[in-house]
Amino acid sequence: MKKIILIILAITLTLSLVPLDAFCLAQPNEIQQNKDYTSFPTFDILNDFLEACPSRVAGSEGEKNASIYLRDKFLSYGLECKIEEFQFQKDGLIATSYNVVASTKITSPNLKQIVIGAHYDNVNVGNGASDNASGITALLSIAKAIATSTTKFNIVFVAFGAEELGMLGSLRYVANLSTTQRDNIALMVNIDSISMGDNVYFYAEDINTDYNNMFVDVANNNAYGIKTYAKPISKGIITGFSGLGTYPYFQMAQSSDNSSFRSVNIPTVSIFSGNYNTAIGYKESSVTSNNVMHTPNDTLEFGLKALGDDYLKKIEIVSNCVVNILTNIQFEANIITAREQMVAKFWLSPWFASAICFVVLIVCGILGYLYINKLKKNAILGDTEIKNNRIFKPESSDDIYKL
Amino acid sequence: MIEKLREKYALSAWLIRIAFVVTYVFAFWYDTCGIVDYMSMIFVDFTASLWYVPLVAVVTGICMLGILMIMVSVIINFCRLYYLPKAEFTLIVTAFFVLRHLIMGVLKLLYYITPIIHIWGQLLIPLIATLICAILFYKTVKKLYLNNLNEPHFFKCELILFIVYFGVTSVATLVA
Repeated sequence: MKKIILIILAITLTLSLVPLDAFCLAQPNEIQQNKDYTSFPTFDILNDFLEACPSRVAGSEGEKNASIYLRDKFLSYGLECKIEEFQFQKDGLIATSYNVVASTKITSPNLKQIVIGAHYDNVNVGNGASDNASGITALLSIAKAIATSTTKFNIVFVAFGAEELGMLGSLRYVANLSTTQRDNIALMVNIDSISMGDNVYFYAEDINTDYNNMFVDVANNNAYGIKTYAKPISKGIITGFSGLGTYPYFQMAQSSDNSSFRSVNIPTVSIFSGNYNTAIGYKESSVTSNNVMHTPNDTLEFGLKALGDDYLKKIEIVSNCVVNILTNIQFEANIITAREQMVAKFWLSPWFASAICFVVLIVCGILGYLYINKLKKNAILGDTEIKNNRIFKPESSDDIYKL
Repeated sequence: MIEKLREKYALSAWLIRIAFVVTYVFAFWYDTCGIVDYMSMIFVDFTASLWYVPLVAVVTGICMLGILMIMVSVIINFCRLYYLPKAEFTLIVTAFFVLRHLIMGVLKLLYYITPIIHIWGQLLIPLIATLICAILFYKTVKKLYLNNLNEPHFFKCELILFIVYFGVTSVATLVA
């Protein structure tokens, strides 16, 4: 009997030492590792890009090679393409980065422009499969589809460089645009880190907008039955930081290239993945090990092991959604009116709030000054003034008679 | 009420201090959420659960209580308000900060409905709450400690502090 108990104890102890995750994931992992993902059109684009450009750190030779790779890809789709070079300071030295700008052939200069953007650089750990090779895959996939379609807009595809160092590529791109060119942009769609997070989110403003809702609705009609969401409006706001341009405050969903456009009053839709239900605000995933952004685990292998098909499905959903919107005439009205729906009202700006604050302070100052003078007079005269007032007023004389 | 406070001074002091921290958590809940959220985004292994918010807010609230006590002491000396009983006056200031936090907390509930008023809230909610409390505070202090001679001096000090604080805050918001 003792032996049996000892054996059971030994087995229990051994099992308790093995992490639960190992039981849950061991079997699916093996299946997923051997799985063929070529049925997903985006898999080839993603895999090819990561094999050709595994390291794309801003200012490095790898980033330059990636820009050439992307230019060649855009050209192969039949788009016009150019590389825009720009300099920035890195570790006290001048470094060079590149924006790759492709566009459909302009049929009419009067047509409004839509910019689809994604950054292609990564941090110096992992190979940035989710952040942001996934976005680049969606961008290439959209470009490939749009190149052979007709749209009611001039479409510009931009692969931004040096985003990880503070959105340098998109800031430079926007700075080079004239006021007329900025006014001509109807919408900027930014795609960043869409594969590893739990859910796909669409974010435009912290109010409901037709154009953002349109993206969510179209994305929800996907073939995989995966639900996408509009970013919850009251989440991700950091107090104490200033807003971007005319935007009234700092919103974490603006920590990407969309903010460079939004800060000059260009309407934006930011597409990203994550989870707003697991933490107070934003977290990439509810599974701790799946929070891979800017870590060595941000690789295609890890992503496929952890999420399987879902890793690629999200890229497919985003690219199909954007293509559907750009090629469908019925969405035109929503995009054209995007600018009117933005939170860019002067009365919401810090200037207006400060102006009100100053007016209140000036009024307080004037009233306070008058009150101090009155108090000083009282201090000098003691209670005399009050007594005199009462004596010479008719109602006060009644008081005297009553007394 | 003040008489009761004076009777059980030690108990009142602790109750007001606790109320200060509790109402601080209420008033700065939204802001603390943002801080914890930001930490959660920066640190991959840190998931900001709801419990971190009161924890961070309580710690900040205790620090703010300490800062407030020091500031009151500094202001009493700087403005030469020697005619006020220091300890009791500090307690009354703390009590009015409790009221200020309550008003701010209620007004900040608007953020959950319309976060776009955030920048307004950042400046105007403290301004409204402080203005209300400053007027009530002045009336209370006047009733308890002031006479015709020292009243103008006290009012002048309070007015200057109010204008300088919000003037600096407004400029800082614009510069930021």
